[in-house]
Amino acid sequence: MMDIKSDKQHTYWNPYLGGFLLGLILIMTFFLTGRGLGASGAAKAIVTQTVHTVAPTHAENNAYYADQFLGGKVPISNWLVFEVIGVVAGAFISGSLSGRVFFRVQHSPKITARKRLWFALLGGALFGFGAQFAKGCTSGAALSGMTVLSLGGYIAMLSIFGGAFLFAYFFRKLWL
Amino acid sequence: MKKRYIFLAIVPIVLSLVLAFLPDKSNSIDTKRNHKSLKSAKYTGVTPNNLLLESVNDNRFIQPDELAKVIIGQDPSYLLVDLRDAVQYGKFTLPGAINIPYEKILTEENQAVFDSEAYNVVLFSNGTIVPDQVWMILRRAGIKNLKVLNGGLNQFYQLYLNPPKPLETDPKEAFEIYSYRKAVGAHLGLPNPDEFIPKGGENVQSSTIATGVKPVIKPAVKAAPKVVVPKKAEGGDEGC
Amino acid sequence: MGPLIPEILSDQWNNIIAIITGMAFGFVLESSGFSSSRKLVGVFYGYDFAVLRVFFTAAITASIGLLFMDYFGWIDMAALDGLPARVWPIVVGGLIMGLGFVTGGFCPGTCITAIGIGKLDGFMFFGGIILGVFVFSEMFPLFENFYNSSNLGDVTVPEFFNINPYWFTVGISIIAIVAFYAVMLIQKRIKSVEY
Repeated sequence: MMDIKSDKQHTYWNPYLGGFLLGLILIMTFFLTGRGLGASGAAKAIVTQTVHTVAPTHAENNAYYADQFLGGKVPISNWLVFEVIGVVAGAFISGSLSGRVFFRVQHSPKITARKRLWFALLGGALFGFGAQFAKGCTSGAALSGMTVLSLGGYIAMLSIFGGAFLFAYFFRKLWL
Repeated sequence: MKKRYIFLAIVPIVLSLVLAFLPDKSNSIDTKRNHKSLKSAKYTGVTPNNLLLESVNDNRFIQPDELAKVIIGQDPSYLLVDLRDAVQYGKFTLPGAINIPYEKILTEENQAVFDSEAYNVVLFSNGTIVPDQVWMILRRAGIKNLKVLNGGLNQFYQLYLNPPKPLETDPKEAFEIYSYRKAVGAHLGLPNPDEFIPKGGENVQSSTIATGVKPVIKPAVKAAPKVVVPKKAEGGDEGC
Repeated sequence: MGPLIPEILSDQWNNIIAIITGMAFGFVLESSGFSSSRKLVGVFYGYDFAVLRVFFTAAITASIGLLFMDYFGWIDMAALDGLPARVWPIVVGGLIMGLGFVTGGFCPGTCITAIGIGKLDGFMFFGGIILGVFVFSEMFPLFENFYNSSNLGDVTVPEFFNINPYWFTVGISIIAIVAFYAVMLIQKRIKSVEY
């Protein structure tokens, strides 16, 4: 039994199949809602809503926060927040089917779990910071942008992957 | 496995080639992008800041005197657009003007008029409110070479029907402008209340006011007008 | 028919569709292994090119699909949300994101997937994103001018370079296939990494 379980654990789908299905999902999303997928926007909504709840006047004075309330919009009921909730659920279902759901830190054997966690935090901070400039992340800006042949999407894709390749050498110890 | 991948790899290339060779349908993305459709002007066109600067700048107006020069000289680079409805246009209009009722300014055939950017377009109506609005709309869409007739047809005809008489103390230029305006009025076939021309005066083409037909304007600037009492221009009662 | 919301379906469906779409998205990502940070960074070190394959395949599938639908009038591509091309902000943001990618091993979408299966590093990454967004928002007045600069508008690549969009897609498909082939060759020659 244990053997079968560990076999299933790292048997992932063929990437081309995954990509094809992801493409179909993108088509469906665009057809139904006119917008693509995304993820970083949900984090932005969470931050804005929290700041607004904790310190409303400060949020009003800051152009970045204030912009998100224009037209009576409520950030937390952002489309992306609901989408992200769905992603967690979908991943959970898929993981459960393959026995991959349990709490752990995944890290290279050459570094400690703690180091991995700190670098994850750092990486997240950088990513969140950069995603504000580009108004999107790999799913929202790059992938959805490329789908509609948007110039901004292609530039985003090239910059993100270009930047990662550029800096990859310096962090190889984390992964290899 | 290799064969299957080769087959799969060919699929997207073949599909996109099919797309490239499909005949142009009118609603396909290709022709839509080629059209200067206003939908694609979401972020193009004039930004609000620039639009504001342009709208407070008087350069967007063309003065009646300049327009008169254009009409008399039959300057082909100018396109006069009458924004009123077809009925008023039929009754009389400026020589050589085309009629685009302003509610229909955004339809595709009418947009095609502005596409070529070859003309200097002069928008006019009875007053200036409608042309101003249309100027805003078209300018926002990025259409260049637009001007609005200052004072509209009302002021235009007032100026040439009854040019303000200069006082004795006014400089020479004022007199020159006055005679110029009288001549323009005559040229357009407007009667000058000062002069009475007996029968047998030089032939002038009848003005558009009387017949509603756009005349061929001969460059006879100094021709004396016929004593035809024209129907008064209906431009006096434009609504706001 | 075009995008069904807001004209054919009412706006209230939007959030429900968001959840369902998200579930499909998360399911596919997780099943393709994108909840594993070591798998994701494999593309930058040459031992696992799943990211490239999934990404490009999804992009060309979706592009070709939408172009066909647009041709038949089932959707209006001009009405879809594109990304306004604010060139320099996007480049700067992309480079910073690339750095974040190789340090943290995730991107926001995949980190949510990792959270879904219980990876603590995914939680930390998401916490980091929140932190990064907060820092940026507080520092926004410093960046405001740069943030709005060099905006070319919502232009597509074929529009910008004045080429036929369908031929552009042919080109992208060819580039993708060539990339897949090249990557397959590279992967054979790099020492494989157990993860």
